[in-house]
Amino acid sequence: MLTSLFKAAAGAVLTLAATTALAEEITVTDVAGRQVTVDAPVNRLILGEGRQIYLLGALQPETPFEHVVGWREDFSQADPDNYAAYAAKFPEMKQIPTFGGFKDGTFDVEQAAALQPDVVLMNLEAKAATEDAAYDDKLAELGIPIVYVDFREAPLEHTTPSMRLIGRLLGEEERAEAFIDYSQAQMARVAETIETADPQRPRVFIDRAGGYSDDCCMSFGPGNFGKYVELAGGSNIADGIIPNTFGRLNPEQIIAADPQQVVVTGGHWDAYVPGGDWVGVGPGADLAAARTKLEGLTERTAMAGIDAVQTDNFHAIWHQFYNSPYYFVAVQRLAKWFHPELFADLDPEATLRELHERFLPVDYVPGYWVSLKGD
Amino acid sequence: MLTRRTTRLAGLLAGLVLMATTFAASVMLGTTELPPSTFIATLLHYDPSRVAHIIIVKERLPRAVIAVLVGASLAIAGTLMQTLTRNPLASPGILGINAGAMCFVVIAVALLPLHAPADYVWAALLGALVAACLVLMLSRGGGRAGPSSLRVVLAGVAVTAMFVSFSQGLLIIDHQSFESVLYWLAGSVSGRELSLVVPLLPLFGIALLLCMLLVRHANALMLGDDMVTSLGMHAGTIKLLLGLVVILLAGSSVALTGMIGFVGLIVPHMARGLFGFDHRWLLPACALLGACLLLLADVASRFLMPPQDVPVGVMTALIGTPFFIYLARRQQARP
Repeated sequence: MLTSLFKAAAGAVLTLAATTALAEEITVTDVAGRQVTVDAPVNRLILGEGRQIYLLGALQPETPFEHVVGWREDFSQADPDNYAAYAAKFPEMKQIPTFGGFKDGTFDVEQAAALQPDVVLMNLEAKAATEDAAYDDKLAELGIPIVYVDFREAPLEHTTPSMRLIGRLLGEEERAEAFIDYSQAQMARVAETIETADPQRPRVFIDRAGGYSDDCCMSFGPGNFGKYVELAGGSNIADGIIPNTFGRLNPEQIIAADPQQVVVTGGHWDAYVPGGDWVGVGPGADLAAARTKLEGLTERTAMAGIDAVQTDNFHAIWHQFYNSPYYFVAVQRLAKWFHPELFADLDPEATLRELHERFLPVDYVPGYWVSLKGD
Repeated sequence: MLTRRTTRLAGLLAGLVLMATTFAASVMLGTTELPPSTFIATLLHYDPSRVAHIIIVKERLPRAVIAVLVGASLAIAGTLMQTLTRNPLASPGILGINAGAMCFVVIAVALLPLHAPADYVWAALLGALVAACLVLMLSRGGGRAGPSSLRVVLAGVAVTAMFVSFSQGLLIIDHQSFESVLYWLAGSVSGRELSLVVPLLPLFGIALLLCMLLVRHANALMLGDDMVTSLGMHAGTIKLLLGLVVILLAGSSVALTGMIGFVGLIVPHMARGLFGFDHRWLLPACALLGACLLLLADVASRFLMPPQDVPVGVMTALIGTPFFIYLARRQQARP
């Protein structure tokens, strides 16, 4: 009995010594431009947002939760379809301790410290709130560094450095570069065609989380989906009205702009707005039900008489493309909606399937978009 | 001050003209500037294929109509509140109406599948009613004279604090679920359809009918509870009936547009300055001036941070805060 206990203890000590010996102190620059010193490869990680698993999953598809010791409780609510897919394949995920958010002041520093993380991965948009609440100072005193990543505020600019950064922290640099190469190649398929053809740009309204709230309408300014629209060969009607990434347009501004294409971002948000008018697209979505809801959104005051409604150029796409490293799929889908003749050979569905097969931990299930055009 | 009957009538007529002008401005000014000819053409021959016509009928007209209804209601409610409490700094908010409406909407959104202004209306109305009844219950004295002014104010402060803190607690715990409520909480006449007004019209109607019936008693109440008794009614009953009018008008307004403050505080002072203290003239004047103020605030909200549309509740607060400070200082300066 004592012998086996001694062996187990010795094994644990040797394992700890081995991992300590393997770990080297590195200094990385995060997307906030901060120099952060960490022991890499990181062994214990807290995710400041649950959806950062999109990044981790692409880098460690076999064991995406191996190093995650705590995470913010948003994945199950914001993206229940993918949460279910991940939970089915990695049931241990449900045992990971959950946190409140840095942004809303419900993060618990004591709980974080108790989990003894090597690093806390934080989203860039929470930086101001993190500093206001002095979470960064408190964690620094405990020897826990914060590293900022971003794939929401400026996904086109920050996803690549964020991917490289996490790749470096996890010792998955090669895998990170492979993902970056793939995403850039997929983006080039749209960018090169648009540059060569220089088509007439349709006026596009992005209805951010349309139906989530009855106050019409939330949208994107020059960043995020607003930028996706421009890259896909459209003209975002909110550009010049909404100064930052996120904002809202009033119904009159939409009617006056008379958009030729409307793209609603949607998801299954029963956790937030039970029975809401949101369009439930995402993996495994009931597209007939989603289409019915999409038709319902054309009845709103802001959509009265607009070109997009009359020509059925009214579409819905998975909202989380705004907050994931898979944005290139959204750009391809938008390009095909805006310029069907120009992108006749482009198959966004095939791209998304290939992305899952090559990089992601879960299998591809269709349902990420729907259109009143029927394609 | 307008003293003679003819000058007062002329004053009301001028108010009506001013309201018509601000109404027209509300319909014609905004992100898209529309000439008067377009407005007239829309009213005579609505063409659903023309963008300008759609903007007027679907957005501008409902917005202006709701601003008139809510502005008038809040102003009348404010006047009656100041009469009831004999406090020139009183407004419908003292009865906890805003806080109650806010709290019940937040609770309803948290517990029920509500996510549209049409759904908020009844929750807000119930909240306004519960809060006001709670204030009136807490402020009742031992006698039959009904609630005392000081007790109403103190009870209102306490009930408001309770409801506001409860709402804020819920908003912090589950802020994501309440994103849909935030714009409503700021107070807005934009994006509301006229169909929202229809179920509330009977309530506005009952309140205005009660107003007309109680106008003499409201005048008597200003001279003291004994004067009301001399008219053959209990002061407590009159206060409760006037309180009911305030609840119906302010509660329905909050339910319709969310939190729009200061209209019920500013307008009664403007109206009294012009028409004196006689409620027969004061209440119609308040209705007209309240409508004008909210219409003007809504028009101004479109140009404060163009091309962004500022909620009208923010605009009335910007106008109202300096006015409130001025009133408070003037009260303080009096011996």
